Amino acid sequence: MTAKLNIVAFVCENHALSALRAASASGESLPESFHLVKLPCTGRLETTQILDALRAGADGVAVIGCLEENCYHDVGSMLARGRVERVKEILKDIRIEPDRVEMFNIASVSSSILLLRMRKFEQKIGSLPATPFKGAMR
Amino acid sequence: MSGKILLILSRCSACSWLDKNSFKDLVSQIRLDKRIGKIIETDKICDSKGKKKLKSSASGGCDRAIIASWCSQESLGKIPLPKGIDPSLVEFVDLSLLSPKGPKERSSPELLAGAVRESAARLALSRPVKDRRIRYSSKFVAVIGSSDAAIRAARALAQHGIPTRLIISQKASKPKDGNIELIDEATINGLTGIPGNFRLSYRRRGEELETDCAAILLVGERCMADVRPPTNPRVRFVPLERLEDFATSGLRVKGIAFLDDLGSLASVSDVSVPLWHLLLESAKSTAVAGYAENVTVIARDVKAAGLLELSWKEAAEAGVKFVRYDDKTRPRIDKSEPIILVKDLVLGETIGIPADVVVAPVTTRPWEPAFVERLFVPGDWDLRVRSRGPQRGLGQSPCDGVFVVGYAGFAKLTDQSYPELGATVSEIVAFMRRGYHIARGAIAEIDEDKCSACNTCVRTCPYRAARMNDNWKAEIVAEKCAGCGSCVAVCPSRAIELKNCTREQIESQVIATQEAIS
Repeated sequence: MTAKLNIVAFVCENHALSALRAASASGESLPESFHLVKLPCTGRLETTQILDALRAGADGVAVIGCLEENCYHDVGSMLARGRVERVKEILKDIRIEPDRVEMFNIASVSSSILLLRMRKFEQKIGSLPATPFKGAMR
Repeated sequence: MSGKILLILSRCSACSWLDKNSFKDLVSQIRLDKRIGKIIETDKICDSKGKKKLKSSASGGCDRAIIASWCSQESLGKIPLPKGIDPSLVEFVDLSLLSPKGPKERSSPELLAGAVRESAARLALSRPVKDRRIRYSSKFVAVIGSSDAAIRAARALAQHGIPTRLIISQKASKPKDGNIELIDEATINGLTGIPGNFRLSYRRRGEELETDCAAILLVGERCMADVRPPTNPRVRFVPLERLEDFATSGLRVKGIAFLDDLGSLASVSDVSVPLWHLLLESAKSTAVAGYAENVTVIARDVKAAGLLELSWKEAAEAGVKFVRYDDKTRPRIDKSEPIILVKDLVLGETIGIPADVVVAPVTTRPWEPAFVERLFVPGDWDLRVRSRGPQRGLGQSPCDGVFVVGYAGFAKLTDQSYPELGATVSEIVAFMRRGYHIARGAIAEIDEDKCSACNTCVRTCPYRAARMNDNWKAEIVAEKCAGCGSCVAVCPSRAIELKNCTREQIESQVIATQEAIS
């Protein structure tokens, strides 16, 4: 059996989640490898939490938040972007592909774009070699 | 508190895509999780029969619940919970989002069970929270603003039977409507209190006075009507934010003039520094783009722009011309030719500047500090009091109970402002009819022992809910906090935790996502 991908998606409860809900209402569904972790706002997310998710064995981490100019809590997705960039730098330093982490800014109405980008991200993660932390939790 | 979770699993025959065996699989997989105490299976949670069944069934010693269904959370509405379940400890899992293969093929029970278990890992650590309802102590709405729009708003509110206090800066005659109380010749000093129970202090004829109000409506005193439409039809007015559309339209124009603020009577600080920056940048890029023969900035205020010497210089190098005018003689537009007549302050004589497009910048006057404090954000975003349309409804500000319309929010044309005003009045009516303000229980909490008084949370909070108390420790004002968690993540000493989204909970859920697959 081939190893399934496992992507942790930190989702903000406002625009991102309503985009996903709109997707499900129109009969679409999440890519199978995504596991949702709801947050009140992506501004809640810390760098350590992204790194912890990778250390726990996730193949990739997606941070899905509102558009930056239109963030529900105003500064949240701007803060999150900085943190995602920081994580990418750290990953580069410890020789792990920085592509494993990505930030998605999405409006609540563009659910199909979100799904498209999620599938693309899934494919990209699939093309990377297996993460060294795989099975660390077992 | 038992900490056990009751799982309400809805198997809606209309929208569930699982067949009988897979459903059994799903249930047996969920049963493996020790956190889940009892499972109630219902056929249809959304109809009255399903709700009846839910109400009559026992909670089995659980105090929290997960509702997993194929219906969306909104369509479920208010579900009656079995006795003993705390309403603040209920989580929804939308299974339709996770069914990966669509109606024709079976969706895998493992995945669905995984989602339930992940949510259980988080819910098991939740603590009950209680929202407080605070009844409004005042029945008044304060309408602040002197324009025609403000008077219209007050009238509309009075027609709805809501007593209104109209606070304006000029002298005015008493209104006919008995519901409107006029406070004229007043300037606002400050605003304290919480939604529903605001205290508004103002100065009137040398006296310091105070009044109470439940909601506040700020109407753009200097709305776009102030920047009067030009009398000459050959001159177009374009707001700064729309200039880009104009540039991409492919039109060639003779001249573009950037005016700092045509109609304003206010002081020099009227145009704020960031705005000047924006204006200079736009002027520069317009000159570089080259679709206009003349690009001129007509400015009265050089104090703020003096701080931006570099942008100023760069713009001048790109070919932008600058003209300064006197405060007493404002520029006007020639009646027949597309020319703006300005009395140049340096030359001391009136000159004509060719311009068939006039760009009016987005100026928001630095509002009374009390409002800026309440409405908007820290740091360098200073003076922009923004009403944020799509998320919070038209005219609503980040502070519940404070409504912003027209130019007080951001610059817009009059024909945008009036419909917005109508919508906002109905928002206020709804707000007043509700009668209570909800102070949310799910808020950030500060551990005073860890707090190092670095002020980071105070600077970050988009709602200005964090502040320093007298002991030099941060504290969160519960009535203002919206529970976004921005302060939690920025705190360098990790002194802040968000109720029901703690570090522990996120970590346990992340770990559960990894367990689910193995």
